[in-house]
Amino acid sequence: MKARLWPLLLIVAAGCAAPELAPIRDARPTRLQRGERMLVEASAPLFDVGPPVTVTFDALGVTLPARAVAPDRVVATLDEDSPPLAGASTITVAQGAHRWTSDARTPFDVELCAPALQHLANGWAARLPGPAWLWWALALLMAAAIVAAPLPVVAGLIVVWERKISGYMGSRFGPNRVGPNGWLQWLADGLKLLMKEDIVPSAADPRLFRAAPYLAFLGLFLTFIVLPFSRYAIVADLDVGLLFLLSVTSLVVVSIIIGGWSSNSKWALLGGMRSAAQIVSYELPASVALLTIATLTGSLSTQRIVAAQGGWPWQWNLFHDPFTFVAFFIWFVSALAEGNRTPFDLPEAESELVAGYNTEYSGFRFSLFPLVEWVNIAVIGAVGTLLFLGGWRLPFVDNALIDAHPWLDACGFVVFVAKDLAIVFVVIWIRWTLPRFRVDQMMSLCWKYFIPFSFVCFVGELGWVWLMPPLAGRIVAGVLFAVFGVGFGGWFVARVRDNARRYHDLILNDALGRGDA
Amino acid sequence: MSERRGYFGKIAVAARTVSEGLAVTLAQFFRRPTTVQYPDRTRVPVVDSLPERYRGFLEVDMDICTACKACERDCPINVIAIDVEKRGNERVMTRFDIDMGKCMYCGICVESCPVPAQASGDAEPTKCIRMTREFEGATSEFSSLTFRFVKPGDPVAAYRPTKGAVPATPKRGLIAREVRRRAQSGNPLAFRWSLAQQAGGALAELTRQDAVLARAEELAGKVSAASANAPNASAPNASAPSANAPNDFAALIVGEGLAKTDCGKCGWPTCRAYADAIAAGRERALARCEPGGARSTRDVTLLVQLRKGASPAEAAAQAIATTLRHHR
Repeated sequence: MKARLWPLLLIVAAGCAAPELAPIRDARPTRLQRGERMLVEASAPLFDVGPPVTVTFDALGVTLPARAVAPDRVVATLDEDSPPLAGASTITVAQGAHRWTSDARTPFDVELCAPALQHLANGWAARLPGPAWLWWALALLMAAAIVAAPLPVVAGLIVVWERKISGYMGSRFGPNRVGPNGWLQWLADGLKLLMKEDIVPSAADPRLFRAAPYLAFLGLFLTFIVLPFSRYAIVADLDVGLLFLLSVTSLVVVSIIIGGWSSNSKWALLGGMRSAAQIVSYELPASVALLTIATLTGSLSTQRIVAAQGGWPWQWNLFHDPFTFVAFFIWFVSALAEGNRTPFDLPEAESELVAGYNTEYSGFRFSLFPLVEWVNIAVIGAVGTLLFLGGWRLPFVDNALIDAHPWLDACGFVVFVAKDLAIVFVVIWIRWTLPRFRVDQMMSLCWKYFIPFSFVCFVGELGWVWLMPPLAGRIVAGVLFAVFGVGFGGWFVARVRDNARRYHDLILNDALGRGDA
Repeated sequence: MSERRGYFGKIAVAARTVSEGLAVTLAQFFRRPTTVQYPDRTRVPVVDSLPERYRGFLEVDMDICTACKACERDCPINVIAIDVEKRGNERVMTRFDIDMGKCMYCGICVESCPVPAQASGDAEPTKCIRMTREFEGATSEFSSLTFRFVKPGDPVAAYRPTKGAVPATPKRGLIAREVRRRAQSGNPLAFRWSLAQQAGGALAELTRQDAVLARAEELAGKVSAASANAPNASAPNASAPSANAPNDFAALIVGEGLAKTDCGKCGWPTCRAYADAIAAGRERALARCEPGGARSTRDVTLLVQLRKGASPAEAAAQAIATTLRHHR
């Protein structure tokens, strides 16, 4: 009895009631189809499926023909030749003599302007022979190629950065010879790998052996389609964004297993098998943790998940409620495990397996595996940023302002990359702090701790979204941020200072002229 | 301890210890690296940071060398080679070589040197031959560690010391650096032996019929001269001097055939031991001198054949066959 009372108490304490829902609940563009369409959702089954419907954007003064696909769903279609629509507006749906309007206090962001490339693709698809979806997919791949072209550079720079961080954590320099302060080391390493002989072991399965690195690369490359670097810098804002992310990253696992198996070597096979066991295990808590966020946002679209958060830390999903807070850590550790990063780098444990699944690879084929591994860190950072750390959102800046001042979009990009790099730093930092787990430890962490906790988070989040009034929710977020963001952060900084106080050779002291040399 | 904790206790321990570990590594991250970036980014050149009595390369200030050969005589492993000639009424040194690849840095040569000197920048007096703080001798060519203080064809007159005077000498290390540079750039010894070790073109050159025949005739003269020094070795007397015959022949093998590096790759401790064994018939393998390569095989074979009484033409044919068999 008592347990059922606490949400009610919170409601009373917060002094607010659940808002009354307008008949039109939601409106968003759908983008996996040819032509630009807008999906409008009603809060109750209002429409007759069949008779014609119109959707009016009141503030823009535009009415589009529409079709009721379900009693509570209407799809409006933007004519290919009509100008793009953009702006904040309420939406009115009319069918026969009935009219339903959305809540006037919260107008929707109408953005029926396809990104240029996508619009172009739509045009081609209409004119070129053959199935339209094929052209559309080709255009999508081209756009992804543009986004992913700097991928090797990103991987290279992260490699150099990691080596520098590991160096400084061990009182060494790391690479500092090639290029300015060593930042071109990745070029030298890459060139060296390209020069090397490409060896396929005679006992290997040649086709699978050759295919595996490309599969790994492809799996990672595809994630860049849905990563929202800023409001505009996204290849395609798929409605199934998160699902897409999960499925294509699984391709990396497949490639690791293929590589391990086809090498026909004990080291490689053991590495591949370990990897399979590990990633299949950790896929579960990671996905359920992501589901927590999907539940909260009510969408799998990456751009909408970012849009649901705010620019300030207490508006991030990380501090939204205790369940997302725990889900973040479950997701983060699982992502480490899925990316084969220390302390979960059992598939490539040097001391036991030489190099694990890629033992038999050399030259260019080999270089793809580390490339994927390090880009994967960047992808982990990007996914964490967009899901939990507010993505590219800036304080005081809403979408209308970004549309008015495009440089703000660049700021958003910078903010996104900065958060991404912060997570990358933590990933590297953890690698140089924690030793490798044993297999049984790794498995018990996943199955005994993460999986139960991730389901608790998921179910708890369902309850939270269902029962928690907005004001109380905001208070909880503020408390979470104060306790964990500020309080724990402060404690941690104090611990670092405590440790650093024993050293007289801090770089900071050098900079301030207080060093001992 | 952690065994006694419950499910949630373990989680708390994990969170706390991981945070502590991360705090430690982050504090380390802000420390200045302790790496010494040898060789080019040290605060002072490494050579200058070494103590004054450091035993690095030997160097000789030829301007104050009296050609007394004390160092050569006292060197326990014959690292130093000095040739002195008389030109008019002046003694000149035509060779002053130190094989730093063989030197064991014992410093006995410095002890025995009778010429004191004061090098600029040093607190203590030093000698004409002295140890420096130079130590970087990495090379791909063993023979480029032979430091030649007399340039070939440019003999140096011996110094006549004034009693009681301590002559000034350049800062220690400058001469060693210069000599090392010369040794590594164009050492004729290195050049000759590297040619000998090459296969292909050089081998064809070494086994050309007329070249081998010319060499056989040249060596035949030397072999007969060595035999003339002593009674005929093939019909030995009972008396003592006959023991010298193989010795002279062995000296000929060392001088004309072997590389004189005492590397031990032939299985004998020194070149002389190998040559003695060949001369006495205890060693039948004539192609064992690795640093000498094909040239050594050819010349040793020639010498052995000639001593057996073969004509230069027969010896040359045999030498060509043996050399090609072992070095192609």
